[in-house]
Amino acid sequence: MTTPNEIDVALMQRVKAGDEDAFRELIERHQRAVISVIYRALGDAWESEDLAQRVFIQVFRSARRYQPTAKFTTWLYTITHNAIRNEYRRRGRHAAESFDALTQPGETGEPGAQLADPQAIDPGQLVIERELQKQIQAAVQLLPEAQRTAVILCRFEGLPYEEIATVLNCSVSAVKSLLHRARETLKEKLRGYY
Amino acid sequence: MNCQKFQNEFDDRLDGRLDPARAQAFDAHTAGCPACRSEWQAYQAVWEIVSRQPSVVPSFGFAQRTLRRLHAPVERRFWQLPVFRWATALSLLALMCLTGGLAHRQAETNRRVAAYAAAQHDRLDDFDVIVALDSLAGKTDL
Repeated sequence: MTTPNEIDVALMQRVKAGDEDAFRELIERHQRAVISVIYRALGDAWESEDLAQRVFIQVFRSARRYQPTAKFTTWLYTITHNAIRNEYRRRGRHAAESFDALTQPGETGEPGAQLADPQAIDPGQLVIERELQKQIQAAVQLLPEAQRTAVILCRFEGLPYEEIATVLNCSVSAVKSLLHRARETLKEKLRGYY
Repeated sequence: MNCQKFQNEFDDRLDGRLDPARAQAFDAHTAGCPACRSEWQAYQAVWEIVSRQPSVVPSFGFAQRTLRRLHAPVERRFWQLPVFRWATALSLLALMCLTGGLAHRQAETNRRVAAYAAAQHDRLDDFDVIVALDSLAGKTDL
């Protein structure tokens, strides 16, 4: 049985040869994960898509140098993390300047944050939920860069410590320390919401 | 398991990294210690609500637009344009030539001034000799 990583590696071998259909398939397999990671770090849906495009273009241009020594997703997340870090440096700030209002996926196809069906929640609860989302997003974005990335990759992408260590270029014990400090900070910042 | 050791294992327990025996010891301590149980529940609760941050649905046609962008002309800032780079290089070269020329001219001037001063010094030396000879001859009073 072919594993997801084996599929990715096979696609990358074709991308290496310039196969754009393989590249498109690779994008469709991982676009949601990449855009979500960037969105959680930057907080703006459109900017997330713009940066995600640049990440995939970087993947295509780096295909010739790609060697399947690690999981493809680890390599992809490393490129994504570097892109986010460069974007923060370019902007010269460490927190989102604007919080992109949570919207439902639009009919015109703009990116949207996926929420539970608002029809199933009463309006008062929806307001509380949106306020909570705002606080969570702000708290995560205010974390130091390495802690933020560790939280996003661990909690939302389900990566094990070892892969996070590869992405962040640090040790497994350093990843554990990053997560611990991040959790303590989030516990303080989100006190009252749990 | 003491409380400090228990709290040191929060992350491993939360991320499923404890082996079955240690996980069992952890859960047993949770059941028997109200203070640690409260801390653990807060730790779990924060992690649970953080996960409620929504994901993003990519907009329709994202992959297609990415491919189009792959083939689009590379966006360049004005300082990356070849004409700007050539103009900058030539300006720097001209500036270097001008600076070099000025430095050479200044050095030449300094050389001439030094030569003039040396010549004047020789004349003054001659003057001193003349004054000394005259004084010896009683013609001037030093």
